[in-house]
Amino acid sequence: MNAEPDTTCNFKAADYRSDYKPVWCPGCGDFTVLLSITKALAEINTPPEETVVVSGIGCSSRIPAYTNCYGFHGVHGRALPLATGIKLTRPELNVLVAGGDGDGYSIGGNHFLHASRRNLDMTYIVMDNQVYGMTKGQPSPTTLPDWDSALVPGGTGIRPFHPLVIALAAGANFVGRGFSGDPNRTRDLIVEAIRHPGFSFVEILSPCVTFRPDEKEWRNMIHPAEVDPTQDAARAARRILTDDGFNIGVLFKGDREPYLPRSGNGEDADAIRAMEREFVA
Amino acid sequence: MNEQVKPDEIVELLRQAYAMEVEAADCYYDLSDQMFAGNNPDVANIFSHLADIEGRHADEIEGRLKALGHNAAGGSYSWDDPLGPESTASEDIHYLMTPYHALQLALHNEKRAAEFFRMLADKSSEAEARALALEYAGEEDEHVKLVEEWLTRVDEPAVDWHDDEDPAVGQ
Repeated sequence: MNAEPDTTCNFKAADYRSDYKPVWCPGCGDFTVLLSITKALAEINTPPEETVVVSGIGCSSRIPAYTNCYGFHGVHGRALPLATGIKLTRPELNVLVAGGDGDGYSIGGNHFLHASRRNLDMTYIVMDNQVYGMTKGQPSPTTLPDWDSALVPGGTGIRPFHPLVIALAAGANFVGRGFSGDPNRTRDLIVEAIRHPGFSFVEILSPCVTFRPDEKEWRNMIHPAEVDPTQDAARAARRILTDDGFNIGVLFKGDREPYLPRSGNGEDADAIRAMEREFVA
Repeated sequence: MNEQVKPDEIVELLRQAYAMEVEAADCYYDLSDQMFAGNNPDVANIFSHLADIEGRHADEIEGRLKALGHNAAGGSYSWDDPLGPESTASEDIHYLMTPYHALQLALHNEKRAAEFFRMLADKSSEAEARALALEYAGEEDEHVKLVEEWLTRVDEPAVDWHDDEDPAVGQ
């Protein structure tokens, strides 16, 4: 994160909330994720206008409207390219990207790989409920193969995507898992992700009470990760592949240098100015 | 309480109490928003009212901390349980719940809060901190009585309160 804490102010979580009331279903985990995000921003203590919240499409992607930060509610699966553009042009801003498992791992899956690989200094928060909630309950890339529903009787039979391991393989510099029903630990996880340089990926298990009422049981399955985070991506990947999917906390903290664009001198700068004259002025 | 004495134990207790009340207020505001989103204004208003009450308690505790020369900063706690001792899990609500259900949740939370303060009193080695914890436990006991009285003024829900004639999807 490049934005500097404002030592003259003591921001509270409410300072990062907008006047818009969320329209998620009552009981949705995304309410508490929003609370955790605003609490994390208060802990970071940078002015709201120094953070940009970017999203794609889906229930959780409504988050930018509910914050008092700058926001960009983009198109389906394209939150990470938008955020990449914002970070490249305004590297001093704190860039948060938020969305769901359908948006991020299916239509946005390719961008997820390359955002991890590029390792720009931003934080990607995925609220994973293992279902497409906004479009009424289709299986998503993280849905278990035997999830039986009216729309997919008997389940898909397809093995789920493993986002944490894929992020590690692609080069993400920070990987963690949270649970929406544990707002304080989720707040701490987001704070750590924002402060860690490079591409930080935080998956938050966030139950969909409407289409996946079975996920209420997650509260009883969650447990803190029993080991300290490692700097070894291969070791972290092995741990994550063999865990039960419900251990929460920081799982990997890498030391790759974040990608920084070239300084904008010389021919590149001339070319950029020429493009600005043609397309922006 | 003698506010000239500033043992760390009292400050720590006040900070825990402050964190608990702030979390409870945040939680009730959040539940209120959820109920407004679900077009259930009766329950939303109850949660909003409870949030205001918890917020006033937090202000009162913050005032005590300031009187002791401390602020509430550093009052962010990660409890042993995922939720604070006076908070409700989002999954425990239902969009068709009634005021009766909301007050039952509040009653449960007030009882937990009273137990929490009694537990702190038991753990306290310093007499004034113990007295303060018991004072707060007593206040929570009063809230239990208030909520119980409130419950007598609302109707018990019908057996089929959760039936939705137009559910989101047939699962």
